[in-house]
Amino acid sequence: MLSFSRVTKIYGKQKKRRPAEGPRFRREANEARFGRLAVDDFSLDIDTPIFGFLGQNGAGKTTIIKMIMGLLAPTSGTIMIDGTTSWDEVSKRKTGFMPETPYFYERMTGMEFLRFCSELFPVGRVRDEFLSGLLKKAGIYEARDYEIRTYSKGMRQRLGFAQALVNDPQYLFLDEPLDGLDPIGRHDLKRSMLTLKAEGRKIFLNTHILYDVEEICDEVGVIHEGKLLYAGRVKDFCAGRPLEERFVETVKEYNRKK
Amino acid sequence: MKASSVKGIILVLLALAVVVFQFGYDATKSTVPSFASAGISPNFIRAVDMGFHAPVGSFLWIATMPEILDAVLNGKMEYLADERYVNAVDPKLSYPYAFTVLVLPAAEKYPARIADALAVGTEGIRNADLDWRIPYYMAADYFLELKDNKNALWYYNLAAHTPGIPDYALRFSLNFGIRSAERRTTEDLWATIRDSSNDPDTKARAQAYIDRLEIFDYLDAASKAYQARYGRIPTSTAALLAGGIIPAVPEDPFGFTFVINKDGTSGINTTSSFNAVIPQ
Amino acid sequence: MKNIFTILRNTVKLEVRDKIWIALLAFGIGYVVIMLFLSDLVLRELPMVKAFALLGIYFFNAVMALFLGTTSFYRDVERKTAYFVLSKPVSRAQFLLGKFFGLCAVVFLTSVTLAAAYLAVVALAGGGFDAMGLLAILMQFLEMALFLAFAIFVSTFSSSLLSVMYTSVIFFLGHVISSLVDDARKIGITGIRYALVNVLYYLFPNLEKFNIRDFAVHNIAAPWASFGYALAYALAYIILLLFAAIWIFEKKEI
Repeated sequence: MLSFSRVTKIYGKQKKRRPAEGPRFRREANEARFGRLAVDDFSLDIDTPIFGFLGQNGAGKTTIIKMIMGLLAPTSGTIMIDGTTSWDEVSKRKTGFMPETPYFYERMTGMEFLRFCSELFPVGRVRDEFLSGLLKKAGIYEARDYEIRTYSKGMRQRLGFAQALVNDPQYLFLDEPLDGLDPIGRHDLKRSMLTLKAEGRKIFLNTHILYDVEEICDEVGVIHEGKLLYAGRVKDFCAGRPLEERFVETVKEYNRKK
Repeated sequence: MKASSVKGIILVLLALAVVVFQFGYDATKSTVPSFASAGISPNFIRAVDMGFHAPVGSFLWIATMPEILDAVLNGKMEYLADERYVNAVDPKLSYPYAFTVLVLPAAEKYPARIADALAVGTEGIRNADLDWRIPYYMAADYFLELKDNKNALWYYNLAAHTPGIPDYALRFSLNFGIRSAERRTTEDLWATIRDSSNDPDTKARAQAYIDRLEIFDYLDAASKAYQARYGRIPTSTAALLAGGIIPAVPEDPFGFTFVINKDGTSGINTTSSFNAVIPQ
Repeated sequence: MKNIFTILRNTVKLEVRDKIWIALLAFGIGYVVIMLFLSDLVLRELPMVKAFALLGIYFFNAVMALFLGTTSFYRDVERKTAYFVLSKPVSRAQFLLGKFFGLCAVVFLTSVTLAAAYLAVVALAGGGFDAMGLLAILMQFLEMALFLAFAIFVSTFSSSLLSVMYTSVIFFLGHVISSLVDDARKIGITGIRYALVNVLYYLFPNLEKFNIRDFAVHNIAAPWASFGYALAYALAYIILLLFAAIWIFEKKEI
């Protein structure tokens, strides 16, 4: 189970919390002095096969996923996986991460890159058959011995997905995994995610594409301006209406309350 | 005309223009003044050259070389200043000292040429890496210019004992002053050196030279005896042995081979190689 | 520990594939080989041959260390290629150390290659087997390791351009201040200014101590005790720099 407990993230100089309210100029002045509030007192427990984090660009989705993986540290609050801090070595052994717009070492081949990633785990290098299997499932097996700088955007996304699986993880954290994929690519990746779900893994993904949330997510978390507006089953959120309508409605409701 | 050929021609013309302007610059630029008078002190160079005294000094020396001949022939003081400069940057670089001792005496218009050359040489022996050329050229200067046989003898000896001396120089250095006409003087000089020195090594070495000179005297006497008996000049030391004048052919402690010259005096072989045994 | 080695190997593999490095090495070897074609004037003078060869090797190693040190680590963080590594059970310290040792390995490889070329050139010029020259190259490598540590330290908080500037300046000062302190009295620096120079002397990395080129070129006997101290100094300073770099890096938001 993944638990967030009062997680807050403020970018910038001072770490003291101040609410970001009021007219725009005051908010900007606030930010300059006290930093930008990216995630605000976020608490949530997630124990569902596929959880989708839905929100506008800049809502805080990537910040949250980076904090889970230890690339950023929360200003306050904790994130736990199965009772251990999520960025601990113990947790990292069973998690896989796919960053948004992955940047690779261009001069490595796909296969070399997977080998390198797998070597970073304590259990050591996995057999090449296993890695080849991952590449095949990701649809880039033919390009395995070509340097990554020759890969197209779609191929890089696929490789990013494949490397998240080298340690056979229990938990997967994917940041905008379908970004930049062509229709076949999107179909393949979604099918892979459903397969992984059937294998008993838990997937947590960031997206701003409503259609994907409707299609594969069991539960959804709506996040806006760093705050959690809703968390629960997709069907319950939609209540018969289109997801887009419900999403816009929820955000407008939030703005009104401010 | 095709666009790409036009571009090609333009490229070639531009490159030519670059070459032409470079040439023009070289043709019209004024000669660069000697760096020693450029005003940067050698201490400053030593401070900022990041420890690269040897290559910087070497480079400065190589840069001066074209001017040396000119300076030497025209008696310009810049030459000596440049040499002093280079060795201020790297005192251990032996080449500038050696070159100065060799070249400076040839500068006819240079008033203090010999004194300065010898001053540089002495400093070189004191500061620089062991280099046989410094004492060797100094000895030549003493002998040829100043007719100072004592110092010449001493410095030739010093050169002979410097590692790395090539065979021809070693041969000359060890056999300076052995000819009959000069031998008396040479023996007296070595005797003076031996007696006036307090250093046991110097005494021993001087004695070794004297002993060797006495072998030449011995062979001279044997040659005269041979001529008296047989009425002709012996062809070699073997002839002396065959003729019953000497009981055995003496061996040269310095590793050369004794011969009898055409005029009947003794000497050493001049053409074949030798294994010099340098007396300690 | 295994992680450090993994990253080390990866760093070496990647930097070796970068063609700029190959160009540098080609220049380096070419330089040493050109010595063979220099005028007789220089060739007959063995100290000059050695002096220029050691200068060339030092210069190219320094340029390579400057380039590698200021870009390799910085690029990984800036271009987020480090995301893949740091999201695995790898600590930031392991990542930084892996990078450092990987870069040292690359510089060591080039030092070894150039050392072989150097020994060949000196032997051909009549100098036999120049063991002291080999030691000089080894000490130069130690200086390069210190140089790399400094470059990586600086690149944890500056952009590439600034890192290059800081590192170059410190590197230059590291030599000049040593000379200044040695000749301070002669130049006439006394009193407060002398005390200040001494403070700077202890503060900045003092690189002159790794210069045993003069010993090699002029065949002087080596003071072994001070070499031992130089080694200890290098180790201590490198550990200091890496420690500080890790500290900064662990706090850094990427």
